[in-house]
Amino acid sequence: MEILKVNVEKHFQVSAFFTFFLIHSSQTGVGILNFQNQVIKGAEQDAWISLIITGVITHIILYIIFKLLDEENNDLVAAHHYCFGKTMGNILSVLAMIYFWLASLTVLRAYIEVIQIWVYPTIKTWQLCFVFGLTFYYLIKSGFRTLTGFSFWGVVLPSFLFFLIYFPMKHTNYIYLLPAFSHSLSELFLSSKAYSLLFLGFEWIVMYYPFIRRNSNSKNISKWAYFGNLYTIIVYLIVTLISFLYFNQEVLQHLPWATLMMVKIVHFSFLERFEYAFIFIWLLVVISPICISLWACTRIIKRTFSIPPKASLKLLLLAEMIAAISLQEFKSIDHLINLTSNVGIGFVYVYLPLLLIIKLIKNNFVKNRLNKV
Amino acid sequence: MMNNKFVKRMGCVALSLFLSGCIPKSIIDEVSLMHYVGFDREKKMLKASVVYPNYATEGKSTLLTAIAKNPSSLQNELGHKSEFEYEVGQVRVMIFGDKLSRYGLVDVLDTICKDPKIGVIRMVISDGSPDLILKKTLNKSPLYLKNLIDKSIEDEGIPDINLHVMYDQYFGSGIDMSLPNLKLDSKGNINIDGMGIFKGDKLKFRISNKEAFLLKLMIDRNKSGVYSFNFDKNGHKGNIGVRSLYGKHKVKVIKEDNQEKAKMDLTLNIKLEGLPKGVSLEKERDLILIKKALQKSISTEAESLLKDFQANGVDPVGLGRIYKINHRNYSEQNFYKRIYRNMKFDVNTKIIVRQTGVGNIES
Repeated sequence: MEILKVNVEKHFQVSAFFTFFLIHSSQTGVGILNFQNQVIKGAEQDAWISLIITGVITHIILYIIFKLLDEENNDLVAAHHYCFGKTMGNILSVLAMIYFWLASLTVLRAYIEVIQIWVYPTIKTWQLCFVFGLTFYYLIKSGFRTLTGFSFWGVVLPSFLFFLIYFPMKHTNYIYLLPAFSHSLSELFLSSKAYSLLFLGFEWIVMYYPFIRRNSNSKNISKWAYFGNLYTIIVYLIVTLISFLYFNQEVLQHLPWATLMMVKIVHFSFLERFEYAFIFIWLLVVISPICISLWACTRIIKRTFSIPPKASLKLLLLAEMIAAISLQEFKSIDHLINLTSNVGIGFVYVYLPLLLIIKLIKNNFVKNRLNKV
Repeated sequence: MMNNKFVKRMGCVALSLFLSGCIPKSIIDEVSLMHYVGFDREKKMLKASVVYPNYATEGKSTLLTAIAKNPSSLQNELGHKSEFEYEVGQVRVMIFGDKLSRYGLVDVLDTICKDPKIGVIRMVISDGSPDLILKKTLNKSPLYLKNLIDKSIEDEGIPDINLHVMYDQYFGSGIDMSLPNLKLDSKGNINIDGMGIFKGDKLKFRISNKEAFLLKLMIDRNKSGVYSFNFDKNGHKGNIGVRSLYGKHKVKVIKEDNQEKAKMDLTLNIKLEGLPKGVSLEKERDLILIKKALQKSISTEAESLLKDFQANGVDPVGLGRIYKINHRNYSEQNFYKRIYRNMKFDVNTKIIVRQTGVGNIES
């Protein structure tokens, strides 16, 4: 049987420590700017509990991913081949690639929408697409190590934004979180589902896993991945709690961009309106998820059809730009986000565990056959 | 010979440089940076008055007014009268005239909420038309009005109200909106005169500066301001003022004898600045006397203010919100119809005299 194990040369690899940054930076996108409006729909002020539920489930999914990937089948394409054979496996891999591409498109279009709503109402989508597209092309073409470096700075540089919570802190009121624990489990899960959109992105590890250097103990990679997810949970928890303490629930229902509204209170004597600076610093954060997912797409194409990434990248980027420009109505962006989150939830929280089960069954089957022989 | 790759790269760089020209630009001298906006109702339409300083000509500020049926076309109307494009991003104070406040602010508030350019600004109401007040600011420094309001909120006992607090009170259930009130005195100076208390988006009634300070004590974290009261005990008479430095408030809604009761504990750290005749701080007894009189005065006045709110059916303290914490089947309507009407109030004040200045105050 043909085994599609990937062998990546050492000088293309990054050390396990960077898994932390890759995981965290691919999870944080545009969602964090306006998630409050969505997550309070079920559990209201208790939504932070839902966040912890989603975080724990994501942890479990990460565990499942590390079970799925092993020495022999070290990426999604290989796992698909192992489980379903070549043709079927390829079809599934392409489907996964479409989802990755969709995720990249969603982050890009949502960020362009933020710029259009908040800063330049009259700027055309194609202008921003063109500038961003050149940047993305340059970044992705430079390879995985560059992307890792970018995601490192995409985590470290914006982390100083955390000090900004000092400003809303002065206007917080703890009674907005009360009464706590007053929602049913089904309401909590409804909010959890809304939160899961914020956690999507870590699943791209199924493609870049072979690019992480494995030292003597393979536990190292998973350890840093768990830390990355934990850090994401902590960041989201802080943002959730601060915005819940700063706004009451009724205000959150009326103001969709709660995080940016919160940044409005930040005020320096030399800078009256910080949210404009915030939006552009956020570009550093959104570049990583857009680029890593596109890179994962080129990877899948290379592994399934042996088309070199250089060619496929141009095609994918062009398709993404055209798709981004053709979304004109603001409602269609909402639909895109909904579609991506539903597909993503299906892929990550349903399909990946299923894949592991199929793989385990197959393992058993293969072992039995070997025993018989 | 030039490398092909190099040409390509430079082409990309040049293209992205040219693209920055697509960004809409605004040059500081060529926009009208509004500082104050006033809204009022006139002839059943909305009237806006805006003040913007002329940076280019180094002249005074300019006041422009326009009338339109809705807030969006108002901006358009203003644009027809101005040489430059309007920019609302630097608005610092928004004033609502009396007529509009009584009619309802909902149209204006809804558009403000949707405009990302508006920062966290101060919101106030005025006794008459905002025009009169804005006219007075034209000769002053550009940020005069903003500083006046900021200072009153910081030190002089006016509750901290800005766009964020206003959202909180306007949208939030179990609390009613309250905005500071601007007025021209007999000499034509702008001053802050109490607060306007709203029910929904409509102005219900106004309270005085002293009552505004009591309201601040009950809702704000910052409690600095001056409280004056009549001291009359053991033959010593006099009106004295005490400066509140900082303090705490705690509000609870409890059930007592089958009746809801709002219990409020105030702790105030104060500075004594003057004493009534014949009272000396050397004597422990006199100090206790003053403290007790002060505690009683604040408590009773706060209670009567709360009763005043109750009689008018408004709740700027947010008792509904506190009631909600312990009652799962809370509904705003039910609370104000049944419970708030019959609520009892109990204010306890604890005074700590922190400072008396640097001289022995005796008189």
